[in-house]
Amino acid sequence: MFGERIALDLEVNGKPLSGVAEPRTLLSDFLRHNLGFTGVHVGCEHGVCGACTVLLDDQPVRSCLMFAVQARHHSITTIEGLAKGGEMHPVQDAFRRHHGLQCGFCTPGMVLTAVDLIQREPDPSERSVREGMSGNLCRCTGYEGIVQAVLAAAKDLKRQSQSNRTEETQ
Amino acid sequence: MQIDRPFPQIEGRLEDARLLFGRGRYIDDLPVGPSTLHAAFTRSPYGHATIAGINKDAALAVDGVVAVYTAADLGAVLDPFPSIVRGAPEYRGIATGKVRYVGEPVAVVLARDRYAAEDGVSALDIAYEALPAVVDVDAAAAETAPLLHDDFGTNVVWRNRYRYGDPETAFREADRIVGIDLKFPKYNSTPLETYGVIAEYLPETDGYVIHGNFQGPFSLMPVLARALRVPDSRIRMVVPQDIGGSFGIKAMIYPYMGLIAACARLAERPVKWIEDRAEHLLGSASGTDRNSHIEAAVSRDGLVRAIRMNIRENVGAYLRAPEPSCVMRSLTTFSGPYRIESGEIEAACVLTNTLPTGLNRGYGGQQYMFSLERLMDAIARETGIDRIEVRRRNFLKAAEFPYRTTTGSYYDSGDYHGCLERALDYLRNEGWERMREELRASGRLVGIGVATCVHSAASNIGYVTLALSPEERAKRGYNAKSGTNDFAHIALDASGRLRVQIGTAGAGQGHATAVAQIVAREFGLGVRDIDVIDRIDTETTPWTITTGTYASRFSVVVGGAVQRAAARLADHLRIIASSLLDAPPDQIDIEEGMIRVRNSNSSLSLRQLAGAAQWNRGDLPDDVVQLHVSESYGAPNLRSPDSENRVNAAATYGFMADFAMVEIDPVTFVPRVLKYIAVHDVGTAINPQLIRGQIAGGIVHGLGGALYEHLDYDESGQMMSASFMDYLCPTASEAPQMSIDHFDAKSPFTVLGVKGCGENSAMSAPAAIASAVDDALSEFNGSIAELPVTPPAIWRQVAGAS
Ligand code: FES
Ligand code: FES
Repeated sequence: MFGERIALDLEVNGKPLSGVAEPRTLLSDFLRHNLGFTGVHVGCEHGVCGACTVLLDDQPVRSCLMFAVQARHHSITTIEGLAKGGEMHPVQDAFRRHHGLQCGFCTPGMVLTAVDLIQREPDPSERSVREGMSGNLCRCTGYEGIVQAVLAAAKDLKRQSQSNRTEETQ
Repeated sequence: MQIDRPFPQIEGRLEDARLLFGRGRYIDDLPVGPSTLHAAFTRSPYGHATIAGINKDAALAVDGVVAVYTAADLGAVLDPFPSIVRGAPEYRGIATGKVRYVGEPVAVVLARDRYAAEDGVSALDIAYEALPAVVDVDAAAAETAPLLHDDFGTNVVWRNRYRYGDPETAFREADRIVGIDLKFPKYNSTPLETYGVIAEYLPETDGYVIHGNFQGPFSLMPVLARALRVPDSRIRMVVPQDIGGSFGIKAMIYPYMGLIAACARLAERPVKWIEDRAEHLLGSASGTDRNSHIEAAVSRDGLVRAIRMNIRENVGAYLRAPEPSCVMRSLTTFSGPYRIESGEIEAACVLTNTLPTGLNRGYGGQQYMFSLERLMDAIARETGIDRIEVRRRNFLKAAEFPYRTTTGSYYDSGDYHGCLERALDYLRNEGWERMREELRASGRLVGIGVATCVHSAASNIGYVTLALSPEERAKRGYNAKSGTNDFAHIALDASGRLRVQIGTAGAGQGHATAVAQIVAREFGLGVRDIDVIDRIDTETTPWTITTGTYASRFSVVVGGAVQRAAARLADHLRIIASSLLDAPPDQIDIEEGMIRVRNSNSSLSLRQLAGAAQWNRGDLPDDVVQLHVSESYGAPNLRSPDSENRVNAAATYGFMADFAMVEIDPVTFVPRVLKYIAVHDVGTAINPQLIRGQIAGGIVHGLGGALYEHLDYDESGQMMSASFMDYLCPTASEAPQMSIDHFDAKSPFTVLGVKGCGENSAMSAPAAIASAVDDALSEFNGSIAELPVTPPAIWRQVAGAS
């Protein structure tokens, strides 16, 4: 059972990839060590810290709580896939501008969680940002910069989508 | 030449893009070769037990397992780690004969991959015979307590008494003596990234290459080298580009570097180990927990004339370097920001069946600030003088600096009254008191707390030697210790670009950005025009015994070295330019990448100058001037302790004025910090944003220690908080709204006028929050003497009153 290897196909950051994993291989280990997505960070391996968060079919999941084989035929976004054409995603850029990171270890999970949060709630209050981000631990920033960054990113994204809509109607 | 311009600022940091794109390079991201073995530790499930037998057969039979090593095997290549206190019980980092805390390494399994290594750990057969355990510091100090180290004969591993000024007279003449008993808890600041080590033994040179997320102090490198039986320079220490938070805890990785290096030598293959979270909580390090009694001799008008303190410090199962230094910060700045001219401190370090201690952001600071500030509140209560007024009356005055304290600490500068006033402005402008009254009127328990503390920074390595008696320090053959210094190297490449190398590896503080700002200011360039190498490879990075990212020393010491190196390189460039432009060096200005002769049109670019100096060296008259410079900087006024235990413990002394507003749920008694104000004197600010970030993080670390984080053991020595489910780190929901400001009482002594600020409210917040809880419980005469302040603890205060 342990030695058995299972081939799996999945999509990571828009690219089809395949690999082989034991049934017990965690998705976080598979992404990091088999596929090289070292932007997926592991802080606790028991589902509390959120550092390992990736988007699975656009939903945030804790990759340390999933087996690699469960990602078979699914599509995953890691932090490496968020920026388009070398340009930071607005959430990344807001983290940069508002000092939303220090050591950067929680950052991939924070950013991906924020992307999802803003998608679900485009106009969040500070309270709902704090609640929405409370499943992710940061030990460096005291969350000050992170909360400011998420609020700012939500505004930026809203402005962007409004101007896109105006362009469309013109 | 003295350049007088503000530090250039940028939006964000030089480090940010790499980290935001997921391209950080942390220890577990480094590529390893196929011959690398992966380690997993078997750890003690008992707080105290004899190891009756270890049978490796089943573990070795596991598919993929290559070797299993115990202390008996590793002892062939690894000696005990030397301790600061001579004669302290042996510390090997792995259990020999018996286990003394839950989580203590007992064996290491090496395997093809981590999964197989963990299988080996589960299969390993170890027989234990349980012994009675002791986890409380006072219980362990009792004569009847079970002994941790039988040969040592007592659990009190170190004790000493210190006396400054004339405490006897002060207490005799006091109008009032105010005393309290306190308990400070055991916690660690748990960086989000755990420890990691990759080690290899090189038989050709009898040396080691060790990769690890080690933050320093590099004074621990000789400790490691002694244990591995090699000269210091035979350990090539490589610190990866990125460290996922360190907070002092990552100084204490050194025993694991020793163990993994020894494994690599025995296995004749590289070995990699990444700690998991449970291991980190059980087996890395923590701050000390402390039971103490503190009392003050107080005059009628609330002035503190002397302090007596009795400290019982729980250092866990072993006293390992750099302990007992935890006591020394408490000792050397015991008077805090107050004019207290006499003191008597009795301190003991006690061994218990708990995780051994070490650095934890603030290292000894939070413990003594908690006692001193609790004491000031108690004095206010007993004398009827307002809490803030009592502090004001006892503060040193701005005109008194530089001020030599009774312990020999040389406070560089300060304006405590002014800084506190600035914090009070925030409090008034934000309407804190009104808010408290309104919330109270609606039936809620709300309080405001205060802490005013001194932030010593850039520690003098000599303060560690206060652990020895003056007689021991006077003996022939004793090598005195003092100072803190560091290196910087700067070079202009042939294309005219500046590159700086420093000897500290940061863990998110933004060192590269700050260094670039210092250099950019000197040359009148933009921050992004400077490249900074801020990772360590001891084969190529200059380093000293005091190198490292600890004791809030970066901006003072490394910043000083960088500034000196930059200024000297600029001088060299002026000399080179003077021969190219035919003008005296002191008539040459460097600005915006240009080198200009003052009041003339004659100029050349940095690029032209670098090109000429690199390609046309022969035509330059002066062969001494260079395009690269190495400079060191030793912080001033730091000597070794004198025969009366007086020492200047640190290079700079900042000040912190903190206020916390706490609300307690009247039904569940769950406390919550609603708001926090921190106005800190950091001297000259190189980068205000980085400072804010440090303080915000410090506030939440201090808040964690005050309310949530606790490495808690039951009586048998079982740890009750070995996962993030039970060890509660504050989240964004628990973090308060913060008002953070800095106050500039420039240091007259440091090169840049800066003061260290990295530990900040991680030290003062526990005191400020305890003060706020008292205020919230004022109708019940609440008085917090123990942290963390949990709902049951609050309930006891409320129930005790009614
Ligand atoms: S590593 Fe997955 S939640 Fe912490
Ligand atoms: S930035 Fe270090 S853990 Fe969040």
